[in-house]
Amino acid sequence: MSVRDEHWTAPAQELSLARRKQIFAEAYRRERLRTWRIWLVGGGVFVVMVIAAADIGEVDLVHLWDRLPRFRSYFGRMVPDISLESLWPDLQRWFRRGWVWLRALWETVLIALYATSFGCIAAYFVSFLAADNLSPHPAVRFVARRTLEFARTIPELVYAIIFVFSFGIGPLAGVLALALHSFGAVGKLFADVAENCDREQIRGVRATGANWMQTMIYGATPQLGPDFLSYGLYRLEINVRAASVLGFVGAGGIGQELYNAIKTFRLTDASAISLMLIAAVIAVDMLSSWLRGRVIGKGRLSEA
Amino acid sequence: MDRVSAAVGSGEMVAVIGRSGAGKSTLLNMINRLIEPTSGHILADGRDICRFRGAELRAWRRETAMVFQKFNLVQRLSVLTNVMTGRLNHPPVLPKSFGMFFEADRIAAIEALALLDLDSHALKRADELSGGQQQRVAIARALVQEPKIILADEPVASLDPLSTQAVMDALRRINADRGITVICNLHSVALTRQYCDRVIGISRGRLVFDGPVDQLDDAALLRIYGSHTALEEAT
Repeated sequence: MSVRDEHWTAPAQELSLARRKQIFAEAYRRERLRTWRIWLVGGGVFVVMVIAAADIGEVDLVHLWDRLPRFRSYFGRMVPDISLESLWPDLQRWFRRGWVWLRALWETVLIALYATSFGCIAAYFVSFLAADNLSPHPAVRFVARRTLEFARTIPELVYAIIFVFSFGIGPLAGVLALALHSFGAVGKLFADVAENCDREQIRGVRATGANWMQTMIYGATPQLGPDFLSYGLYRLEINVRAASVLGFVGAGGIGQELYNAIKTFRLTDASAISLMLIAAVIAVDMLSSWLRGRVIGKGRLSEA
Repeated sequence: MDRVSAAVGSGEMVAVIGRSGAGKSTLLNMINRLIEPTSGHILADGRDICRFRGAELRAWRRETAMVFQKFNLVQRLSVLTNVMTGRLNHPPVLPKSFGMFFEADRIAAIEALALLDLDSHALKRADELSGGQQQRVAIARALVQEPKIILADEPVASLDPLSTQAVMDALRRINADRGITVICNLHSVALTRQYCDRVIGISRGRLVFDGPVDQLDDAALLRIYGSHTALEEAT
């Protein structure tokens, strides 16, 4: 949005107001033309890509409409028979393996918690190396960025299959798979917010003779803490969800149960498990917003 | 703040002085209603501004433009847009909420910037400017609000002497040429004597001096600053 001096030299002080306004009007017109061009080109590319994506991805609205009844019938079979007269027995039948599922769900939450902790701690350190403004050297930054990209490009499920193959069936494979993917995803987000941090505070600490690590810990971390926390907790929520799928390939948790239910068409089981998962995600979300409120401190939120 | 009672007439240039923490900032912020008084009244043309709500409050804030110690410009917006935010409360409000300002707003903004010799920086981002320039942008933003009062809260406390002079000159000129009342918190007695007509002295939340600047003698200063050491720091 800014016009640099090479485009526009400052009018001399003795110019009349009318002349100054004229000079500004010209510069403003040029600037607006430039922004319009950028938006036009960018918008054009975007529209072309959306159309191409619909074509290649076979997003066909007619097909979607034709098959809608099938979707509804599948959905209908997920809803159990529940009547008011026999509410309690019906619910008991619906959640007949409730305790088994709860145990599996607990395992899933723990997998997510471990994986998120490991992933975020690693991401914390690497993010400073990857941030444009904080990185000690461009080469370090390059390596850090590419490492993060590599870690997050490979899907959790692929990692999980590899780790199940090498470490055997069980939660360990799930933890490793999620930790590695989270490291890549959270590390990128951490690095991006780190690039937005206030330079002056960092200069203030660096000027005392602090080394790079100290500067990051005392100059950067305090400003970025709330953002890091919020991304980390959001990742925890994602990982609870992701961990529930990892069971599909034998990496522990409730996924195994969900997979079996779907495979053997016990669809009311599938809906019961899904409901428990949703409840777990809601619980994690409530816990994380409470925690975040405590850390930031209510009075410190900037008010409008 | 406790028992501060003072009447400011239209078109005056008033300095508010006192030690750090005496309540100078609180006073100005209360006038703009960024801080709510717990009790008491603030009257403007016979209306109690503490009762204002909603549109009435926003109109009042438009009439009492603030200039802050740390400029409070939106760093990532252009200088021009920053100044035009001063016109968000001039109808039509809705299109302006979504970035559509009008020719009239742009003209008002560029005239204000030209007055402060910043028109050549209009399309730069606010954070590209020096502190003194940013404070003048903030004054331009205050000007396009078409205020009745400008409340300047330590406007020169983070500026070098040259920028200080430019900013104070601008405030004085606006006061003299446009008849806009200026209420200005200052740390420096010298600046107060140089630029203002009238002085309000505050000590520990109470009014201890109110009079024309030539009555601001050593005894009055001692009353405001409490001790000789504090007074020496301010002069």
